[in-house]
Formats: sequence, C-alpha cells, structure tokens
Amino acid sequence: MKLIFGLSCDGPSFPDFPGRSEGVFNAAVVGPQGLIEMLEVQLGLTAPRVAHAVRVSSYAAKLRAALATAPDLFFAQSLTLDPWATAASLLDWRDELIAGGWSGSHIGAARLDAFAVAEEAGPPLAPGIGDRTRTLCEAVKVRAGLPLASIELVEPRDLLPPLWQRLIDKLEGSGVEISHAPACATSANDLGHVQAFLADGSPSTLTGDGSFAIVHADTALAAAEAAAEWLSHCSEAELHGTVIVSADGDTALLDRALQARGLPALGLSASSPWRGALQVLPLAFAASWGPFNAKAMLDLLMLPRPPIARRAARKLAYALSREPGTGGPAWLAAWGNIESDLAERMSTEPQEKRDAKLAAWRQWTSGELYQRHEGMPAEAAKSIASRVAQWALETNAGNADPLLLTLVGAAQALVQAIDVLNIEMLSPLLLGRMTDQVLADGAQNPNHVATSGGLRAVRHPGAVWGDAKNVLWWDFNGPGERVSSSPWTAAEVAALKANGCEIESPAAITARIGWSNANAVHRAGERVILFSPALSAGEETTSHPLAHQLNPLTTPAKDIIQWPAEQLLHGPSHELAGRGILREAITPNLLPAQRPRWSLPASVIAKLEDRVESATSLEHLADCHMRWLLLDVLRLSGGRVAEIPGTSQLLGNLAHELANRVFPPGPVPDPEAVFSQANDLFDELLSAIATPLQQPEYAGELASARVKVPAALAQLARLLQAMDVTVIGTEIERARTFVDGPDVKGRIDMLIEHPAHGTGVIDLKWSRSAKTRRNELAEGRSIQLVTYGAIANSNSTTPAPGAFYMLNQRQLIGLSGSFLAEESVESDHSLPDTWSNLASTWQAWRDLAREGIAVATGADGAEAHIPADLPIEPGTEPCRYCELTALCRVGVEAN
Amino acid sequence: MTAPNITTVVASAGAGKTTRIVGNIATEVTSRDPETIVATTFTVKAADELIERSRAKLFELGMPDKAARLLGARFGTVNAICGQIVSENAIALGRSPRAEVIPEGSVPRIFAIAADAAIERHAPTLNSLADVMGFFEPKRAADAERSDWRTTVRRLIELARANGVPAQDLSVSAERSVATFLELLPPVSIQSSDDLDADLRRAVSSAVDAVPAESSATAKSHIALLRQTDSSIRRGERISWPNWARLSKVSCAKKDGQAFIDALEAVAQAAGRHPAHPRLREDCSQFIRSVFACAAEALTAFQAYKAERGLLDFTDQEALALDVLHDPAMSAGLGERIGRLFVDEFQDSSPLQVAIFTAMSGLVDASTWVGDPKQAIYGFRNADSALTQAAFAGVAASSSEPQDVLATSYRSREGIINLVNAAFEPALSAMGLQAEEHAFSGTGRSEEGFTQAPLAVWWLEGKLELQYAALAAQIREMVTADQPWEVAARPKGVRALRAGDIAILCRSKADIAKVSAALSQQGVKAAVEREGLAQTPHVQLVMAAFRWVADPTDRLALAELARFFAEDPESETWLEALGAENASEALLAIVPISAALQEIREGILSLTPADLVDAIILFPELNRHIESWGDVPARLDDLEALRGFARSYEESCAGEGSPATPSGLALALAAENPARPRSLRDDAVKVMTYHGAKGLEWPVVILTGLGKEPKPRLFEPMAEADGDVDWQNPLTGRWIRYWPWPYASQEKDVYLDASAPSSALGQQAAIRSRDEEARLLYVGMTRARDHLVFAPPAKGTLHWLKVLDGDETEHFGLPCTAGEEIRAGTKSFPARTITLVCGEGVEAQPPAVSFGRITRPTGQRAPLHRRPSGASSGETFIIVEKSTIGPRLPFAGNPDMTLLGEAVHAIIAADQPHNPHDARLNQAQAILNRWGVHQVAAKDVLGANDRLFAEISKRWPSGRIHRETPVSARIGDQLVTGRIDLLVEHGSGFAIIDHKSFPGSPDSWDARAVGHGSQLQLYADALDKARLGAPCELFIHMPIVGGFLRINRKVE
Ligand code: SF4
Repeated sequence: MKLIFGLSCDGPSFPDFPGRSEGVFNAAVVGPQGLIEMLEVQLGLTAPRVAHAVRVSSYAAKLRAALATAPDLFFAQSLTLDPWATAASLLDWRDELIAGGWSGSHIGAARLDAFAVAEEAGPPLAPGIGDRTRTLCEAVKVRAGLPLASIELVEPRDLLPPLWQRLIDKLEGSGVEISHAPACATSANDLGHVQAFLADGSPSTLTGDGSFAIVHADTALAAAEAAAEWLSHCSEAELHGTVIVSADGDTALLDRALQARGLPALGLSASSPWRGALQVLPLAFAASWGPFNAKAMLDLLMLPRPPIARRAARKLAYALSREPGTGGPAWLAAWGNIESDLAERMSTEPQEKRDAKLAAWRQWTSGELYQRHEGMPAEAAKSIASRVAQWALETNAGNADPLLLTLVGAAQALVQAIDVLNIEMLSPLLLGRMTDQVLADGAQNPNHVATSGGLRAVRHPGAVWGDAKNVLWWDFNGPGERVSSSPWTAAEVAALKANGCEIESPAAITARIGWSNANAVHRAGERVILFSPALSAGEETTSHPLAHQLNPLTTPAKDIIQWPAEQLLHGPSHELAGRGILREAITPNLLPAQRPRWSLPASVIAKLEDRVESATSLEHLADCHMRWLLLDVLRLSGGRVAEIPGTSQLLGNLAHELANRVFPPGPVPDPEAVFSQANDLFDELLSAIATPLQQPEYAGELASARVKVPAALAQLARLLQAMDVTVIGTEIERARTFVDGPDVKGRIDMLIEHPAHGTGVIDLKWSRSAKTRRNELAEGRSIQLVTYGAIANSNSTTPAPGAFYMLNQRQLIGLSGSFLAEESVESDHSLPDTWSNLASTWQAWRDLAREGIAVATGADGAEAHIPADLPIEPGTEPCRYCELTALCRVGVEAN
Repeated sequence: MTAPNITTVVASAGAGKTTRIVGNIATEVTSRDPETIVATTFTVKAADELIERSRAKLFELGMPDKAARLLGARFGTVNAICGQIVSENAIALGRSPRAEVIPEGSVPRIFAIAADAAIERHAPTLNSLADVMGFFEPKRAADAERSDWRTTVRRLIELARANGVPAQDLSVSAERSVATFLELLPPVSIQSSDDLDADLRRAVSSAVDAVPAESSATAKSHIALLRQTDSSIRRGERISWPNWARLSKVSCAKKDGQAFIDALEAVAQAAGRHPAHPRLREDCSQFIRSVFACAAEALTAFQAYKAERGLLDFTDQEALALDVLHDPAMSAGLGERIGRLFVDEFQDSSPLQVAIFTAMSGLVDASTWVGDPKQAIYGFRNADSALTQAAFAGVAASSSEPQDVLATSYRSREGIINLVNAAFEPALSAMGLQAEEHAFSGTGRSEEGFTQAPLAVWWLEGKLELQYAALAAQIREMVTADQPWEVAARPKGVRALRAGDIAILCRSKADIAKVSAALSQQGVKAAVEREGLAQTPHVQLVMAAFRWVADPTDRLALAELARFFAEDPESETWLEALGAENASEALLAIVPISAALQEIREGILSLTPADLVDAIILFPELNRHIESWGDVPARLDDLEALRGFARSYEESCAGEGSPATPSGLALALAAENPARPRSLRDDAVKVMTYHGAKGLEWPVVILTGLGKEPKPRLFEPMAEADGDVDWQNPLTGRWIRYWPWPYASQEKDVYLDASAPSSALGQQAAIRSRDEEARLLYVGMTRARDHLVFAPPAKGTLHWLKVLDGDETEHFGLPCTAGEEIRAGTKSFPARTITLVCGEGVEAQPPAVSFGRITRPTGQRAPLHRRPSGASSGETFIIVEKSTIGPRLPFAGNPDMTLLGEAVHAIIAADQPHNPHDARLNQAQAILNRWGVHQVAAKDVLGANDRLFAEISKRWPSGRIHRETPVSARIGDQLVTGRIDLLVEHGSGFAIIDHKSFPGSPDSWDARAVGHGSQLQLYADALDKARLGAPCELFIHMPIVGGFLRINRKVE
C-alpha cells in the first residue's frame, strides 16, 4: 500500500487521490487519524470508539481519586469548583505529555508528578490519539513486513511534531519507504513572483497580470458574490483543478451563492449544537430545574419537532404564553383539551394506551423539578437523557436521520459519562458542561453536501498536497492558525526532556503554520485569488498571517492587485483575475410605500356585518381605522411564535387574579383580611401563572411586587369600604347590543354596587405611572373604561361610572364628580359623552369602511381622509405601539 | 529588585508612533526570542495593524523565521493580553480553566442573576427610597436614561474593581460619600421632620381649598400637582422630594385671585425648606449606605458566581492578571515567557491598568510606554488621566535620558498644526503639560498643489435641524461642484475631493442621527452607525420570510411578504388576499417565493437559526428583489449586521446555557433592535463621535457641537483619589464617591444644584471635566489631514471652545465674517469663513441601477460523493456460486452481533496465517478482549480465516492479497472512495471479497448477499478506473456461518 500523509489531510484534501489516472487502489491520502486507523486495522489494534465526553468523565474520576490520596495537588481548588472544565483541560495537558513521550511515572516535578498520581488512580482511561500512536510505534517495531510500501510526506519531515516524526521513523525502520511530495512548478508571472517571495524573500514588482489577486469586500455577502461570479465565468472543465481553501471549514454562505448560479456546492459545513433537532437535550434539562422555567418549556414545546405530539405541544405552548406557569387555569384547560382530543383521535384504542401516551407526555412537561443549589441526582439525570435518546430513536424510526442519530449518540454518551463520573448529585453547572460536551461537535448540516462537478474545497491550506490550477482562499482573514501558549514552565520542559519527553517548541509550531499557509499558494499553477471581507457576520475582521507576509509585495502594488468586490454592483462588465465578468442590469423596483387611504374589496366589506366589538377592538378603532380592520375585522395575527408576557404584564395578571380571589361577590372584605389572604395566595398564583418572575434576575421587581400588590388590594378594600359599596363580581362577562351602536362583548375586572349611585366599574391597572390613564380620562378617550361602563348594565341608557385602580400607585382614578373617584381628574368629557362619542366614531368609521375605504391614520397625509367632525380623533402617535408598521410602511427606515 | 527599565515616548497626533514601535520590535527580535514580546494597544484593529506591520517589516528585512515566531508573541488589547495571562494561570488561580469572556451585552443579565440575593435583600429599602427620590417618575424625554438603583450598584462595582477597592472597603467609601454629601446641604432645620411635613400638608390642603373656580392657564399644572399631592397625603403617603421641589415653585396668575396667590405662596414657602429637611439628609444617607452595602454584597456574589463558572468580564481579566503579577510563583512563570513590553495609548489607562503595566515592567528587561497625555479622553471609561500623566512625568524624572518626544506630524498640513499649537497652549499648561514637549515641532507634509488655506469656519444658521440641513447642503456642494477643496493625492500632488474624504464629528448619538438624516436628504451617502436595523426594508423582508418559515401560522409575516413582492409600491393585492375566503391560500398565491420558502422549511431541523438567516438572505429571488431596490452596498452592510446578530444570539444562548431557536432569534431581534452598522464603504461621508474618531484621520474633518457645555459628573459614581497621585502605587488612597440626586427631573433651584459644583470636590470635578473636554477637542482637531472646518452654530455661546482658555480668558476666537482670521492668543490664522443658511429642499434622486448576476438555469447536481456503503441503484444482482467452506462458529451465550461482527472483521483483517499459531491466537484474543466479545473463541475465528485462505489459494494460487485496501476513483462527475475488505489481484483480474458477519441459515444467505451487490459493484467500477478493462469478480464471505458466495449483476 502506498500512502500520502499530511497533517491536515484527514478531512477533504486536494487532489482527490494519488496518481494521475481516474482511479487508484491500494493507495490513499491520509491524515493522522487516517494513518492511525489504517495501521491499527493492519496490526490488529482496533477497539470500540469512546466519546470524548466519556474520556473526560473518566479523567475527572481519576483526578478525584488522586485528590483522595493527595489532597493538595495543584488542581484541587479548580476541580472542586468546576470539575468538568478542569478535567477537560488537564486531560489535554496529559495527552500532550503522552504525545511527547512521557512515561506516566514520577520525575520529581510537582505538577508533572500530580499527573502521574492521576494516571494510577481511579478507573481506566480510554486511549487518546497520543496513546494510540505510541502503541503503534511499539507494535511497528516488532512487526515485520507491513503491508505498507511507502509514505509520501506532504509536510517537510522536520516540520512534523515529534510524535509523528517518531512514528515515521519507526515505519521507515521497518522497511517503509519515506519520501517527500514533490514541489509544484512555478512560472514567471505575478503568481511566480509571489511564490518566489514566499520561498526565499526575493523581492519583485507585481504587474497585475491576473495570476494573483486579492478581492476586498466590505461584507462576506459581497465577497461570496464575487467568488461565485468568478467561478461562474469558468467553464465546467476549468472548474476541475480549482480548489477553495476555507479555513474555518464552513462554506454554507459561499455555497448558497454558488448554487444560485448552478455551480457545484462545496459542502463544508460547520458543526453546531444549535441545529433544531439537537435542542431537545439541553431543553429537557433546562425544564427540569426549579423554579419552573417557563421559557425553556415554551422553547421545548415550540421546537419544529417537539417531543410530544405537535397539536398537544401547541396547546400547551399557547397556555404557557398566556399564563406562564403550571397549575393555572389555562394550563389545566389545555391538558383537559388534550385529553379529550386524544380520546377522540384514539377512540378505538384501549384506555390504557391513551393513559400511557398522556403519562409519557406529562413526563416532559410536568416531571419533578430539582433545586439548583441541591443539584440533580445522577439517576434522574440519566433518566432524562435516556428519555431523550429513546424519543429520538422512536422519532427516527429507521430513517437514519443523521441529526436524530447524533442526538441519540449524544444522549447515550451523556448517560455513559454520568455513569463513569460516579458522582451522586450533579450540579447544574456540571450537567450543563456535560451536555455542552456531548453536543460539542454538534452535528453538521446533513443536507449540506458537496455536489458533483470539478470544484473542490479543503479546510486547511496544508490539505492541498498536489498541483492545483486555481487556488481560491475564501474568507482570507485573521487570526489564522496560531500557537496556543504551552502550560509548562522552562524547568518542567527541561525535566521532561531529561526524562525522554519532548514538548514541541512554539518556534517549531509557528514554522509549521507558516509553511502550510504558504503551501496553498505554492501549489497553485495558474492563479491564486484571496477573498477578504472587512466584515464577516457583522464582526470587523483582522488580517491573515499570510497577508502580513505578503504585505511587502502587495502594499506597493495595491492598486493593481486589489479588487473591490462592490465594484460588481456598478457596471455590466468587469475584469477580474483573468476572467471577463458580465453582469446584467437589474430592473429597478420601488419599495412598497405608505399610503393613507386604501380601498377595501367586497369580501372585506362583507366581514363588517354581524361584528361584535370588544373594549380592545374599539380602542384599536379609535386609534387607527386600518389597525381595527386588519387586527379585528380581518384577524390578522403574528402567528403562534409565543412570547411570554413582560414583567409588568405578568405582575398585572397576577394582581388581577389575586383580586379575583380576594374580592368575592358580596360585601367588601376587611382590608386586613384582604392583605393577609393576598399575601398567602401570592406564591401559589406566582407559580401557577407568573413563573418567569421567579427567575433570579427579577428579584428586584418581585421583591417590590410582594410588598405592593397585597398592600394595594388592601387599600382598594379600604377605599371600597369607605365608599360603602358591595362587590357584584370580578372578571364578569357582559355582552350588549346598542341601537345605532356596536354589539359589544367584554370581561369586566370588577363590578360594584352602591346603594345610591348604582353600579360602578373598576379597571385594574399595573403600570409605572398613572399619567397615561389620567390623560385618557381628561381627554375623553378612556375607551376601555367607558366600554365596560356601557355594557355593565344591560338596560341603563348611560354607561355606569368607572375608575381605574392603579395598583402600583394605589390610586383610584376617575372623573371628578364620579362617586368612584378617590383621585379625580378634571375633564370636559363626561363618561356618557365619551360613550356617545365612541358610538358615533364607531359608526363613522364603519360607514367609511362600508363604502370601501380604509384609512391608515398613522400614514402621511391621513388627515385628508379622516371623516370630518369625528368625535374621537385618532391618537397623535397611533403607530407607536402598533405591530403593523412593517405592513403599513410607517415609522420604518426609508431605505 | 532593580528598578524597572521604562522608557516613555510622548507621541503627538499623527507623529508616527506605530512606525516607531515597529522599528523597535524589528531591533528587539535580533537579540531576543520573538515570542517574548508583549505589545498592548487600545483596539483590536490597532493591534492587528501593529502585528501586520511588524511581521511585514521582518519579512522585508529577510528574517522570515523571526517573523514566523512573532506570531507567537503577545499582541493585543490590554484585555486580550490580560485574558491570556489569566487563562494560562487559571488553575494556579484556583479558578475554572474555562476562561470565557462574557459578551458586554450579557453582563447586566448575568449580574442580575448572580446578585439576586443581594438585590432582594436591599430592594425593599432601596425601592422605597428610590420612590421618594422620584426614580420611578415617567421619563421626560424618549432618550433620557431611567434612574435605576441597580444600574448605580453595577457602576459602583465596576468602579470599585477598576480602582482596586475591595468589597469590604466599600463601606468606607459609603461613609465618605455620606459625609461629603451632607456638607453640600444647608444646616439642618431646627424644626423636626414631622413639623416640616405638617406645615406643607396644611399649606397644600388650604391651597386646594382655595383653588378658584375658573383658573388661569398658568395655574393649571400647579393645581393638578396640588390635588395629587393632597390626595396622596390623604392616603398617608410621603411627598416625594421632586414634588417638594415642584411645590416650592408653584405659582399662578393675577386673575386667580389674591387668596389663591397667598395660598400658593404659603405652599412654596413651606416646600422651599426641603434642603434643610432632616429627612432629606436621612433619606440620602440611607440611600448611599444601602446602595454601597448592596454593591459590596453583590460584588462578592457576582465574583463568586463568575469564578465558579469560569466567566470573566473585562475588569476581571485585568484584576486577575494583576493577581498573577503580584504572586511570586505565577509571576516568575510569566517572567520566563515575556521579555519586552510595549504599551501604546498609555494615556487611556485606568488605575488598574497602570498597576498592571507597572508590575509587568518589573518582569521584563525593558518597557516602552507610548502615549499622548493630550489625547486622554476615556475618563468615562475609568481612564485616569491625572495618574497616567503623573506616570509619564515620574518615569521621565527617574530616567537620565531626556524624555523621548515624537513631535513631527506626518498627518496634518502646516496651517493645522500651527493652529493647534497656538490654540492649546493655555489649556495644556493648565493641565501641567509643557509646550516644549507637547507642541508640534513641524510637519512632514508638503503644501505642494494646495491653493487654499487648510482652515475654514462655517457658521450654521437656525434651529439644530436647519443647521444640519445647511451643513449637508454645503457638503453636497463640495463633492459635486468644482470647488477648491483639493486633497493630497498618492504618491504626491493633489486631487479633487470625494465624499469618502470627509468626516463629520459629533458630540452625541442624537446629533449623528440628525446629521446623517440631513445628508441622506441631500442624497449624500453617509457611513454612520445608527439605530433601527430591524426597521430597514431589506431586514424586514428577510425577517418576514424567516418568521414565516419558522412559523407557518404567521399570517402577518406572509402579508408583509406580499406587500414587499408587489410590483406597484401601493398595490392593494395583499389586502384583497387577506379578505379572501381562504386568506392564507390567497396570500400564498401572491407571494412568488412561498413554495421555495416551504422547501426551506422542510430542512429547518438541520439548520441553526443563523443558518436559516443565511439561507433566506441568499435565497436567489429574494436576494434579487432586494437588489432591485438599488443602493445595494448599504443594504448588504445591514444584512451582514443581521447575520452578525444571528450569530451573537447563538453565542449568548451558549453563554446563558439556554437553547437557540428561530422564534427566539426573531423575538431577540425585535427586543434588542440593534443598530445599523457603520458602513466601511469608502465612497461615503463618515459621521461619528469625537471619541469614535480616536486613532483615525481624514483629509477633511468637520467639527460640530461646538456649543456644548462641559458638565462635571457630580451625581453619578466617581473614583476619587486622596492626596498626590503615586503612579507606582496607583491603587492606593482610592475611594468611590456617590452623591444621589433626590430631585429627579427637577434640576434647577433646589440648592444642591448650586452647592455641589462649588464644593471642593465639585470644583475638582469641574476642572477634570474641563480638561477632558479640552483633550477631546484636541483629538478632534488633530484628525484633519488637509482641511479642518469649524462648524459652530451662528447663535449662542461656543461653550466648548471656552475650554481653550485654560486659566486665561478670551484666548481663542473664531472669525465672524469672511476676511477675518481665527485668533489664538496673539496669533491669527487665515480661514475661509462663510455663513450657511438652509435653502430649499432638494429633489430625491432616483437610485442608480444596480448590476447583478446573470440569471442562468440552475439544474440539480448529484452529490459529489458516491459512498459504497450507501450505494443503492436500480441494478439487481444474482447468486452465481454458493458454497460452504466451513462449519458454523460455535457461540457461547448471546452476543451483541454488531460488536461481534466488528471484532471478527478486525481479526480477519489483521491475521497473518503464516505466523506462528501462538502469536496469531494472542492477537485474536486481544482483539476480542478490546471489543468485549467473549461469546466466540479466538481459535474458531482463526479457523474460519484459515479456511478462507485455503479457498483463496485454491482459486487463485498466485494471487496477491490486499487486506483492507483503499480504493478511489472519479466516475463521471462523482467521486468514489472506500476500503475493500479483501482484494485479490490475480493474473487475469480482481476478486473483491467482502466479509459479512451474518449468522443466518443458508436459505437466508442469498438475499443477504445480493443486498450488498451494488456496494461491491461500485468498488468494481472504481477498480475499473484504476486498471481499465481488468475483469472483477464479487464475493461475499460469511465467516460466522462458513458461507462463500459469488454474485453478479443481472443482465436484463
Ligand atoms: S401602523 Fe399605524 S397606520 Fe398602520 S395600522 Fe398601525 S397604527 Fe394604523
């Protein structure tokens, strides 16, 4: 067998395989991993693979065992604080020692000997690549007649790390012929000059002949456009022999640009733990910590493929987004709904089957919660991980979906790692770290693959091992490969050396890096183009180390070899690196513009009949005709992408629900009783409907609400008692039809009865300031209040008086003269006036809509289209809180 | 210990300090390991430039190996370098080795989580005090900051750490703050708090009774205030201090009647006693103490939280690096690795940073601190200019060498540097900076080709908006018309001015927004960072598609798409669709890309949220649609920022341990509404803050905001230092002062507004802020290469220019009319002076046509790799030979067939039948052990292999055997690569033998064997490419059951 060996050739390399013919056998290009595997197979040294997380776990157990015998080892404190990260980095150190030739025994240097202690303590550690290579070195020594004839090295032999030098030496010793991959030919153009300069620093002047170019772009998007355009002006035959160096190993962006032109995709995809399918694992854990994490649960339910039936998940998600908590009415109703739904769908199946299904679902949503400061028992964590693995296996159901299989693997590795770790209670930090680790490599996008054609891509400049025609370096930016600083002191390095362990010097590493950067340029026969965006994914980029090296040559020639990618946007033909690039003029389109007046199709007009309005819809209408038409008449909504209500809305909900509980119909309860009852109920309701407030970051808000809400309700009781009223009810549904007015339906926060003044409406509000409500009253625009007043009594001709109770301020605000107003607001508009104004405003707008006209009151020029003498004029800034601005094109950036 | 060897270099603006450092580094590497060089700079960009130029220089000088090794040196911002030191020593520091830097945006949230107990404990007190101090009053202006005591707590913590004040010492700062604060108040009233309250209550109550039936307009708001106060009194609530202040200013008109006038007078008088109110003192003292106490507890908790998780913020990186430097063992380790230190922009160092540099200087052979005290402008970011200035002076004094000064400008024309020299003399000497060190000595610039003096003054008429409109019009004129604004060309001579040559410097973000709006109205492209990324049409279009892909029930997103894709900008088709019987379908029908988006949705589970953003941005039809709106580069900038936002969203999820989902991204974008990025395009006018201009230069620089009044920062946390500055012990004698402002938006006539600035600390603060303002102006003026333009408002005092007076008066003046000159002291400088008045609006210009890719048909391409293991094709295979070459291997127990198969395969792959049996047996047994397979005996497996070999030598007596041999080929446009279990190369061709550890009975062999047919055939096809025309037979070997079968493609 003949091999070509390069340190960076484990992934894709270029050319595809050795030799000049269209196929080859008994020969291959391999990287370190490939070489080891090949030799292990031949030498009978294979073993089952072990996930890295399991190795880290074993090492953590070993370190712990070491500390048990010697508590003062140098890592003691870090290991206690963060066992996982400490074990992971010490394992890296240990593997580096092994690679250097460390024997694992004591050599009289404190830190190094601590590793020796760990080596002997605790459970066995699965071998790492260093261990395996050393085993191979030994095995090769005693094995005659390897089925390996020769190895051609891509890197110069003296640039290989010591471990690999040793293996190569051993192989050579057992008869394998070692040679070096031949250099490529150079020519006398700019590229040749650049290659010569890189080789020996010989200076020259570049002429701009197109054999060497640097494409600068402001953005990665423009750089991708330029690269794709250049390639799309190559024939299919020219694409053969063209290789793209993509050092970060992600060509997703570039591939989209290539595919838009029918070019082959390169197919390098980055690993990411954020691929939709993998999210179940971290979410399942996040949802198992107390206090209940509504956001994590919501995310779990909103996954594109949630772990319980999608219909059920959406119902629960909806409930959660209204009342984020478990045990509240919405949550219970959702479960009831799910049960009956299931009964219907599985009506022919036995009851046990349905129960089992429900129980399985409940495991995901209502499992036990563990307190963060106590940790989670290992068994519980394993069962969560197993549940995820089980679900992924079932969902995959034989389709071999690579993502779900990755998830199965990760979850199983987690179970195994927890076992090996052998700790009873796992802290959230530890579990989080372990989950991160098993997902660390994440998964690449299985749908993102290279497609057929001549174009190739490699992940590393050292992976180009033979002649290429064109080398294109994608995302030619810093930092490039760098040396990481070695953990060892000079004394430690010396002690190691004395004991036969060689730690590679930074100088040797930088020399290798420099070689591989230049290598990509040297391998090009016709052309090198470097694509360098100034912004990549929004970040300002830095320069690549190879750019530093080229700087003395490229800076003087700036104007002739640099090419701004944005130039492509400005003309029909361009000359770039030997290609004439043609572009077509884009037929301009105008941006959608705001307009104040729209005509309504008949189908919309038809929807105006038989409408029932609500306090909210009338509020929309008063502000903006269009808003009412779109949101209320046409029921346009932003989908179910659920958002948990913000802090103040949650506090408002909580206060409403508390009021509902502490003010039963009948005489107003005693303020003290209200206070203590509200106080007692506070936490129960908090976890039923407002759990996000329990998250630590809301401590301040919650602390103040705990004081304020019960006190505010007690104060309300005091005020109501002083007024001598009785409570008719809270959260009361009322509906009413008005002659010459709308049909209205609504739910009133609190209805009260006064012996003399009759019925009154109280609307509870939680907000930072009372100003908005005062203004509403003063300006005769308190639409909600008057609407509730109007429907409060089905037979009275005028709306019942009403007031806002501002919970945060403990103020009961009403119009002066109202028996409800503890704090009165002067206004020229009485509530009856406001109601009749509202009714006629409604009428005017509805009539206009019936005529087929809609007015977007926030749009420029709307004044001209608003009906004259409208009793309630649209708000001054109707669009400020409107969710439709993108549609109306109001208040958006012009360009 | 010998005194550290430090050299300071004072480098004036544009005097070539990078060149200087690069030169030094080139010399250094000849005598020391390049890896031991440390160079700190102020920004990532500057660090990048420094390393690029240094390495380029070494390559140029023929030292490629030194250049290569320089990659291992420490070049970076102070934070990056400290971060590296900390992470190298994390375990020695007893921290988690995972030294993750918290992104700036996540700090408040992490702080809130970590400090939750401390905040909860102090919340009741602080909330109620904050309430009486009006912290919760509604904001007056949209851009006004809300006072939140938690922000104050965070700021206190930040300052404490930047100044090395430990948590347990914060109580000292608290007491000193209380003491100095109380000194600002008048002597405490002899009346008790309750009496003062009662007086006011009475006065208010009588005033309410006296409210006239018909009140004047003047009285309106005061009456409302009285009524509110009255009812809050009746509720038993306290009157807030801002309301005391407001009540002290109540008034009305004559027509409201004398009774009411008197009543109000009484209210004003009673309320006017608030400065002497005992409870004001109590409230403020308690507030100060509680805030500090909370800060101390929160600081401890915050630090512990981060230490456990290995999280670091910027200050931690520095504080911990200092711990390393102060620890003998750790610093010795570091000392081995560093040998030479360069500090750039030294003047912007915080006390903590000065301590770091000082300590690091003790570890290296030599240090060079380069800076310019005149350009210290980061006081608000904890920099301490007094300290850095003292350090410069101290180092210079202790050295026998004269202070190294770079005073020749390679940037600005002579007229500019002469003006700067003259203008700043008093201000600089007031700061203690001597002209001989700090004036420019000359310029390297030539005047060749210039026809105009480098200075200009543009007086701007009218309100602010009109001023900027006039400015924008003038700029448009400059770049379009043939005006004499020549700028230097490369390599010499002059050329005409382009938009990209101009920078407009502003004092605030709000000004930037106004200037850029004015410019775009004039059709001048501006490169400016501004608000509203999520409100741009292109981002909205992308996000509408994104939302709809993420959530198919999002009809709003679909409607938005319909609007964006309509040909007519006012099209009503979307509305018609919304009204249709089945609105969703109707909408789908008018969104041309809906089917394609649905296709993207199919693959959503394999995408990350950021991937999905990319997929949509680059989706061809959508992309083309955006291009059709013109002005493509600016849109690309925004879209790139959106990509960046998506990635940072994912990162912040990782940091918080929460998952990243498409809906989460959509919500985060709406909630955070990030800024539109500053464009890097060079065809646009740059608009930015003075601070942002630091380190940059342009041919034409326009200075705005000259009327801005310097305001000392009195009522926010500040670091104070006792006595003379000791730069060698920069962290001693430091404390944090915090004076609360109890009056919310009431800023005038509350006593404190006058007493604070005139106090000793207040005066110090005033001087500090005056000096800082002077330096900021210095930075602004020295950005200009060819032309410096002052653009003051035509009306009003130019407060900012007053800082140039230093301790003198009337030092600097701008000419009012053309013909006059700029005056600085006794010198004067010619300037082109004009007054700009906003003219008529300009017609919006149609966007220029853009050019895009030529539309080509895009066929589907097959995957590049044809994997033998996954091969399946329409071909069918038949069994052509079937024999049993041995018995079934006996099993003990119930093996895991996958593991068993792997192990058996591994044995056969490695076994060498000619070796001694013992050795073979040992190897086979070792393999079984490693795979954990005990149900089959090693000798039995070897027996199977012997039989296989017997079969092979019978069939192909002279064949060459290749085990586990790689094969690759290009077949058509596709690639095949794989490994053949066993390949026999014989005289007339090949035999491919595939081992299958199949335990089934003989009647099930056939089906199993043909199932692998296409896989083997693919190998055969590949071999055919390697050796054209060589015949190839395909075999399946079943070692477990002794089966040996030959298969063949069925010929139809
Ligand atoms: S965005 Fe403005 S104009 Fe459009 S519906 Fe909303 S409020 Fe009306």
